[in-house]
Amino acid sequence: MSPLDFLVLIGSMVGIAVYGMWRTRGRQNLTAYLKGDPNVGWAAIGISVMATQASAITFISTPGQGYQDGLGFVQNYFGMPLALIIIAAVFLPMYRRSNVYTAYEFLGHRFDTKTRLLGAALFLLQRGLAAGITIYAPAIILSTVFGWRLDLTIILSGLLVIIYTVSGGSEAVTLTQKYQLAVIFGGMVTAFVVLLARLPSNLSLTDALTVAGGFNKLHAVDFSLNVKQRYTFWSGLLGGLFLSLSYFGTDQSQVQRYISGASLRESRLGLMFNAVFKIPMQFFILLLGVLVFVFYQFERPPVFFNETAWNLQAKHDPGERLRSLKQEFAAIHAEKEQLIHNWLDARHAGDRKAEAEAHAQAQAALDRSEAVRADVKTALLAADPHAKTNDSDYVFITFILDHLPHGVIGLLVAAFFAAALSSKAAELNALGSTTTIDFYRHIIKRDASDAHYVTASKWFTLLWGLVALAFALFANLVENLIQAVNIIGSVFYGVVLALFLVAFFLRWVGGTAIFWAALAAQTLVFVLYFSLSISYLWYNFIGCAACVLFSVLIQTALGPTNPPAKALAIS
Amino acid sequence: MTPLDDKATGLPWFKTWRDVYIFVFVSFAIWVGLLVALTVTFS
Repeated sequence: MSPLDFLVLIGSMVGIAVYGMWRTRGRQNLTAYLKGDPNVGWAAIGISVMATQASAITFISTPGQGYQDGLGFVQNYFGMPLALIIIAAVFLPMYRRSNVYTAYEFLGHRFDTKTRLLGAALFLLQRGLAAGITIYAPAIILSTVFGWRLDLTIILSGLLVIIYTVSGGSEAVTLTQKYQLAVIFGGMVTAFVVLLARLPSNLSLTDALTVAGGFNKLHAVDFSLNVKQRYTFWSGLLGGLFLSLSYFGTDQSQVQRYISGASLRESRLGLMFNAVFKIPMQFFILLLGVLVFVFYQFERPPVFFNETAWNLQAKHDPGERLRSLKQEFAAIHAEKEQLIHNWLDARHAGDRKAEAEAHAQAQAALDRSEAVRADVKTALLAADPHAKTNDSDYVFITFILDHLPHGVIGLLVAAFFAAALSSKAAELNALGSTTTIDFYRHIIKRDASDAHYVTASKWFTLLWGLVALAFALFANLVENLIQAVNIIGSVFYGVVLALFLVAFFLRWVGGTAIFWAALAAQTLVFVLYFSLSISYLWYNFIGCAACVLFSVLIQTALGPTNPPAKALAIS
Repeated sequence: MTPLDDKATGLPWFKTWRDVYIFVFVSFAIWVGLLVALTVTFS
């Protein structure tokens, strides 16, 4: 990175943080600190919800996913619009009517204290672990590529977000997210425009899409019922609906973003903004990756995108295996490029037979180049059994460094950090709020002043920030950490969602029944997790279904309970 | 929160929340349709 890139990166990140702190300085009102500006409108809410969900990994890894597997991943988001409609119509009015600070406080109103604390504890456990990953995941990629010290990257970016989140609370989070998302979109749109400009001059957009489609990168929707297929319309619709209901409807890091609206209207429109724009946004990011793939059909890519790992092993390559694979890859690439030109020329000439032949030959060449890449990964693993051979996370950052001008590089790296900080800030804010409201104010110190709780919330936010930093610093000691955190999330999410679904839809089920049902369902999930070998995503459904079923059975055995307060009933 | 706040959207074309939800659903359906068209056209 050049000095100009560093100027853009540090200037934008520190500038936004300082602005957020300055605008929210001296806030001592608990509602403003935990819920944010009471006059916030739907656009700010919508942006805040979007910025919270979109972490740095969304913008670093998703183009790599597009490059590797095409557009199919977009199906993962198909359940989200439906989930957001359900949340806007059912969850949101309940939260606002009961005037809560946290989603788990609502459980206390609807059921009892023990259920509220159970929900809050499950959230703290799950989100507290994930908070370290939000900082670690982009830091490991960026420090590897740029040669920065990993610990310093984690500490500096972590401290920056802790300082402004502790200082300004929810209002600072929402305010900074607005500008951070502007940096993110500015960076991604600039990358898109530069990428289009860097494609060969004789290649039209239709040609680019033909190449992408011919190599199976534009297979966006798959209606097959094959459960082994990772991304299909049905798994995206059903699984996505379920996961989005859990995440947007019950995770405090999201709930805190939209319950703060000036009115129910503003909060609802903020959610609908996401329901309309999330799929196009993910499509755009994946398409960026697909176009990077097309670009690299005409410009030779590295044989392995994590060049730091490659160079490390290439130094100790006694049999020169890696060098010979690199040469073989270069030769196949040159042949493939010529075959793609033949394919497009035949297409332009309207010669269907020649087009089909050239396409088949280009596909065979692509298969051979992928086989060489597989051999490279095998060779890297043979040299170092702990080597990370999945290089798709490095595709987009490699393209940025090798082919974008200085200044734009700084803007893109700023976009990645902006995404990391915006989601991290919302997580810390939610962890601090839940600890203060559901544990400290409810159990330890009732009836203190607003100023006291604001101070307590700041300390808890700082504490969680330091926990996340420590977790991020030692994250590399744990094998396959991101997957581990996803598994933890899936193991708990189902039961948490069930607590809220029963609260909203089964009014005759009381606190004792749902509490014991949740414990029984969580135990069942643990037992199944350690005894079955099914995909961990299924535990979301199993935990939820079991908890709902158990609560009905236990309540039936216990007999009728008092109905909940009228204010909490669905009207 | 007033009953008016609950029912009025304040939007020019969508007077009720039901209209807004239908619009969101139709937008989703259009996106799926466009993605299917992209899949079919370039496969």
